[in-house]
Formats: sequence, C-alpha cells, structure tokens
Amino acid sequence: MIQIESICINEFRGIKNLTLDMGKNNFAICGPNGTGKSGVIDAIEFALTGSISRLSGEGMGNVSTKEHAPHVDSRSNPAKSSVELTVFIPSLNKSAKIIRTVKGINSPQILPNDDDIVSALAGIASHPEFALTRRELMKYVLSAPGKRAEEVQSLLRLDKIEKLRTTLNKISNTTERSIPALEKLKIASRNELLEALDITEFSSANILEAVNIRRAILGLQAIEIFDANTSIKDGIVSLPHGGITSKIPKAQALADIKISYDNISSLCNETIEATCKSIKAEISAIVADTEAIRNITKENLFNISLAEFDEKQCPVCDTPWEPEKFRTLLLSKTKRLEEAKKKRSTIVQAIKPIIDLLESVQNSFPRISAYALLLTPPVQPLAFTAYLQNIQHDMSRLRNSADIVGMSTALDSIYCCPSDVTALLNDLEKAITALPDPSKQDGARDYLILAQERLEKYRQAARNLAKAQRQAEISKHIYELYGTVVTQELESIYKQVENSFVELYRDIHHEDENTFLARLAPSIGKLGFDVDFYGRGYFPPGAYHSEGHQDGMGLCLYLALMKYIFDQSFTFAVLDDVLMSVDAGHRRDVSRLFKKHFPTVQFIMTTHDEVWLKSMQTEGLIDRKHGFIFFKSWNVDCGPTEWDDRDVWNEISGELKKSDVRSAASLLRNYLEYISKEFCHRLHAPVVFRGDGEYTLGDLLPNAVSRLSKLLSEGKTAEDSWGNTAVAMDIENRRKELAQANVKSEIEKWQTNKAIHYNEWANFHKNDFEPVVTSFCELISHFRCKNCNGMLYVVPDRGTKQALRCSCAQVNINLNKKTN
Amino acid sequence: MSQNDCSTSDTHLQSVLDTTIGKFLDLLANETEYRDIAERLREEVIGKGNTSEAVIKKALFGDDAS
Repeated sequence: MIQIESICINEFRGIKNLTLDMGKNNFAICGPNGTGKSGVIDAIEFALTGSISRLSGEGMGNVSTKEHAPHVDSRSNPAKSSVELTVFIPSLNKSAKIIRTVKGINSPQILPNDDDIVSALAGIASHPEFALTRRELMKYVLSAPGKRAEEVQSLLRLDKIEKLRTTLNKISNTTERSIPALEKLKIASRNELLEALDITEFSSANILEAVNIRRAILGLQAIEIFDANTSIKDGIVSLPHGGITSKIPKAQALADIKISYDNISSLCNETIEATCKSIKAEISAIVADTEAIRNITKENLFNISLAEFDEKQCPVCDTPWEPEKFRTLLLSKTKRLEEAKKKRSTIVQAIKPIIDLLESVQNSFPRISAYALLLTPPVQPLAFTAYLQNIQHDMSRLRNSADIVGMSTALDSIYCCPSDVTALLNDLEKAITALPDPSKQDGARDYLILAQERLEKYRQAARNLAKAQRQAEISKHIYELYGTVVTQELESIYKQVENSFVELYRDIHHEDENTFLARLAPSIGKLGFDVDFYGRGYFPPGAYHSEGHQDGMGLCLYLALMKYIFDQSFTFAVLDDVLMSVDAGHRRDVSRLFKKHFPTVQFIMTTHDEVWLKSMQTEGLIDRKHGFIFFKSWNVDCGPTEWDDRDVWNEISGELKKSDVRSAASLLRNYLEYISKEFCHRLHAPVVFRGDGEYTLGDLLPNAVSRLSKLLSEGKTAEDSWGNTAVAMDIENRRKELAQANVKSEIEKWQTNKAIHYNEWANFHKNDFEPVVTSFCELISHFRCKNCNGMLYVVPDRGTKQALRCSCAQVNINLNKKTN
Repeated sequence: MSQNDCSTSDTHLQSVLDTTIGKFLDLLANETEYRDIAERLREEVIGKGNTSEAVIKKALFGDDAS
C-alpha cells in the first residue's frame, strides 16, 4: 500500500487548481456541503485507479469518468484535467509520483518508472476499496444477507467462491429439471415400441417370443438373450430400395390407422362432450365471481414466479431477493389463496385426461401422414396437418391455467373430429387395404425393421434419462459437499473478522457497550450479521441501534475487513463523509481508535462537521496546523476556496478597492462567523445552544469577546494573588485594549439595534464600510498571539480551566489563584 | 514482506480462495467415484481460474456434458 505525501489537482471535477501537502500523515478536509471536499477524494481515486466510483454504479447511466471528470470548462481539453500524486511506498521505502490526465486515463506517468514502483501502484489500482463512502459503508451493515455476502466476498476477493457455488447450483437444478421430460419421452417411445411389436407387456420374454416368430419366418436364428445391444433385425440383408422408407408396411400401417381411429373415438364422443360441457360450466361459474377469478390469476402468478425464480431476482420485477425469503413470502401468499388454488386444481385435474387424449391423437397422426406420402400417387395429408395444428393450439390453451377463459374456449369443439380428417383417414385405410398383401417373409422383415427402429429410439430415450439422472445425482452431491466445505471455511474467516470487529466497536462504545458481541454467520450464498443490543439478544444492526451506532458498526466492519485483507500492509484509507452521523460523544473515541489500532495507517477524511474536525485535532489524530484544510465556499470559476487568515483581510480590501461593498460585506460576515466559532470553541465560551446548529454572528462574537475579557480578568486576579503585579498589569492592559477594540467595532450597537444589523452592511457605502473592517480586524487580533499569530485557547480542553495559552507559549496566562 | 504490499495481500487472498476450494476438492477426491471430477475441477478452477458454466459442466460430466 501507499501513503500520500502531496496532491496537485488541475481542472478536475469542481476543482480548478489545488495543491495539498499531506506529508504521509492523517489529513482532514472540512467544509460545508457543496464546497468541493469529495472532489479531492475523487482526485485521489482517479490518480490511483483511473476511475471515479461516484461516477459509476446505479443511477449514473450517462455519466462517465472520461467525459465528466474534467472541470466543466475543460471538457474539450481533457489533457489539462490532471491529478499529480506524490506517494510514499512503505514496503519499498521509496517515494514516487503518479500523474494521470483524463486524456491519458489508462496510461499514467509514473516517476521513477521502476518496475517495483509500477507494480506497487498497479496493486493499489486493483484495490479500490481503500476509498470508502458512507453509502458503501452502509452496504456492509444494512444490506440483505445475500447482498452483504456478495459485497463482503467481493472485498475479500472471495467472490469466485460464490460464483462457483452459483454455477454448481445452476447445473444441479438444470439437470434435475430435465428429468421429468425425459421420463415422459422414455414412456412414449416404449409405447411405440410395444405397438410395433404388437405386444402389450414390456418384458424380455415377450419381446423375444414376438421377434423370434418373425425371425423364424425369415429363416433367421432365434435370439436367445435380449440385452442392451441386441439387434432384433440382425441378419436381415438391406432392402434394395432403402427399406421401410420406400415401402408401406401394410400390417403395421393398418394397425397404426386403427390406433388413430381409436384415439379419435376416445376423444370425440358424447362422454367427452359432456365432460367438456361440465368443465365449461364450472369455469363459467368461476368467471362470474370476480373475486375468485382474480384470486386464481394471483395464485397462478405466484406459482409461475416460484417456478421461474432464479435464486436471485423476482422474475416479475427484477427486485433482488434472498431465495428463502422469496419462497416463504410467495408460499404464504399462495396459502392465503387456498380456495382459489382448490378451484383451479379441480379444473386442471378435470382437463388432464382430455389433454392426454389430445396428446395420443397428436402422436398417432405423424406416422399415418408418412404412409399417405408413400402411396402411389402420394396423397397430401393436409387435413391431418390442419387438425394437428388445431390440437396443438387447444393443448396450449388447456395447459395455460392462467387463462381460464382460454381454457373454456378450447373445450368448445375438441370432441368434434373434422369431417375431412375422417374422410382422409377412410381413404387412406382403403388405399392401404388395397395394397397387395406382403408375403409372409416381407411382413416379417417389415416387422423386424420397424421394431428395431423403435427399439433404438427407446434405448436412446432410456440412455438420455439415465444420463440425466446420473448427472443430477453427481451435481447435487458436489453442490452439497461444496456448500458444506465452503460454509465451514468461511465461518473460520468470518470468525477472525468478527473478533476484530467486536474489539474495535467495543473500543468506541466502551462506556455502555463494553460487553458488546456480534455474529457474522455465513451460510450458502448469504452472510448473516447480527449484533447484541445491550444484552437483550441478537438483532440486525438496523433493528434497534441508532444511525450513529450503525455508522460506527459499518466503519468497524470495514476496518476489520481491511485488517484481515492487508494485515500490517494496511497503510492508507480514504473515508469520505463516513462518520456523518456518529454521535458527538463517540467522535473522540473514533479518533482514539484510529490512533490506537491503526497507528501506521494514513487516514484521509472528509467531513462537513467542524466539531468532528475539532475532535480529530484535540485527540491528535490530525496535526492542529497542517493536518487539515477548511473549505469556506465553492464556485464554478474558482472551485473550492479555504479560509486563510493571512489573506482574508487583503481579500476584503481588494473587494472594497473595486467598490464592491456587497462582496466585501459577505466575506467579512462569513469570516467572522467562522472565526467566532473557533474563538468560542477554544475559549470555552458559553453560547446559547441551538438544536439546528445554525449559529449566527450575533450568537457567537459577543460571547467570544465577553469570554476573553472574563478570562483576562481571572488571569489578572490570579497573578495578583501570586504577587505578580507586573504580569497582572500587562493582562489588565490587554483586557482594556480588547474592550476599546470592542467599542470601536460597536458590536453592542449591532446587537441591540435591529435596524442596523450585520445584514445591512451590504448597503453601506465603501467609505462607511472601511472603518467597520478596520475595527473588526483589530478586534480579531486580540484573540491571537502577536508572536505566533496562533489563536488563544484554554487548557485543558475539558475540566477545570488552568490557563489561557497560545501554541508558542508566549501567551501563557495562569487562571488559578493562590490558595491560602 | 514481499516486494509490494498489495501483491502480498492479493497472494494472501488468493491463498484463502485456493485453500477453501482446495479443501472441497480434497474431500471430493477422497470419494473414489468422484476422483476424476475433482482433478478436472482442480485443473480448471484453481489451475486456470475458470468458473464458467460450460467449463464446470465439462469437468463434472466429462464428454457427456453436452
């Protein structure tokens, strides 16, 4: 991994030009929303990986890094849009520079271009998880177990494990599902074989008896054993004209025509007609009941959805689902429609024998159609073809129980055989009867050839079924074994992550959750995540814990995962607004956690919360002077701008020179609000609490002045008590100067006279406003050390105040009186 | 520590992956009738990193896969 020394961003996203010196240390980017903080994170990610995750993913259809990474004014010049990152690679003990432009997005310049450096940076590019946003963080905590498993396994590079599981599952399901159709084919081909053999019971003895009679007629040796390789036509010399295809086997053809007659008779009779009418009446009754028909439609939809569910998404709306939950939900819905199910089932059961009859008719006609074409001259079986098409159509409708009205329509006429079909059947029978009878030998030969053909078809169907059954058995066994082994292994991995997570979370919440526990439980395709809620049991993180706690959990889980992945090599993480909702009471603990558990990791963090920034400073997570940048605002021309105490007065002066009082007033007001907040914080000034955190200048500056004045008074009293009269005098002078400066700024007047408020500054004339600026500049200077220019602050940060100091210690005013 | 940190982590993660799948394949190979399947899967999944359906089907069912 790496650590960032500095970053230089040009014409990139919302940033025109920005250079930050991070010096391999933790670094915070603070500022209100919309001031360009995330632009810096984008730049780091872009430099290291060539992509920006915020510009990809769901909902970012037409947005791309290539087109939208450049600053909006530099879209036509992507070469200008660049990020230059100077990094340190701890494992190599080397520094390097990576420069990436949007134009050369896939070919960054690396200096020095040593193989080991290039390899290290390529490694980083393959680990974009160094950057974490709050949105990403939540996916580990709040997502469904299936989705969480996907995300975490992807992070741990274990997604291949899940992919293999899915593949094995799919193969197992596919082979299992193919079996019923193959069983049906085997039965159908066996029945055809029995018809050709003219026997009713399928057994070796029956087959051999029937076959050997014909073989004897042909003078062929009897077959003793009937096994999988037996050829019942063995010994027959091939016919000169290609055998059966050029000649009608008269006996078999007449038998087949009889079967067709029988099938039609079974279908087209008064009994079936009565049955059809009865079913139609039942359907009509259901159709008349709106509720019943709606429930049947629903029930059917649920059944289809269950059948079509691919273990991932709802087949209707593509919503991701955990398989178990999806099935449970649909089954519970189906259960509520028990009455509808019963009605539909009654209809389906009543129709099933009719479908079987239709299938029999359908199966018998292709053979007799073939005979028609073999006649001289050939007869075109158009009537059969049309009839079969109608049967096919009716069968489709009868099988579609979702369309109950369609089922009813199909029942209208299936019991009537078209007259042209019976006429053609009669003609065909006459024509074949008129054919000369084959000799006994020809008949026997035709019999054996046809039977062999059907035997081979049956054997193939049997082989296909056996193969599918075997494959289903193999794939099911392998899938189950894989699931068992992988679950055991993942349990071991997740146990390590779980322990680490619990340790980190307890460290943050040691005050009230020091016995906190969690369970990361992998199961096939899922990763359950439950946490203990104050000893009351285990619940999903989102069940009872606050959002702040959930954020903390997300962060701890992420850190635990990173620790597992990188161990000692974990040296760099970018946290983009990750701790947005961590409650104030735990921010310091988070800072301490980073320092304690990850002392060698460089954290780069963004936040819009100044208090959080303060916590980082106070806890020493970031350097007080150089460890952060504070963006004050953003505009499209300049990008983010930061508060710089040295420049703000020059900036205001510049605006006044242009006679732009409005801009100068706005700048002064914004700056005073910012700096007053700093003063109040550092001096522990009492401020009326506002729940919305929206403090105005009037809420802050008078309190800061009053507080400093009070501290100086206390300082004077303390020094007097110790007999340090000269020091006490200096402090008193300082207090008086502050009071004079305060009077000059007329701050009390602004406060009490609502007619002339800070908001009115913008209406001033340049000459009226200049003295206001001068007076405030002087007032502000009293809050700083004249030597180091650092702001004065009270120590310690919490508890009984001891002293008022600056960072160079030139100002060090004791606040404790001598006790007698 | 190896030449670069990310490679170290990748090697570690790859090893976790291979160990997990490797244990499954070892158990499968202990069953005589599944030994050949285990070897074919090892070659494809660990050896070549291939987990596509067609390849796994071929490894499972041999020439009967089609």
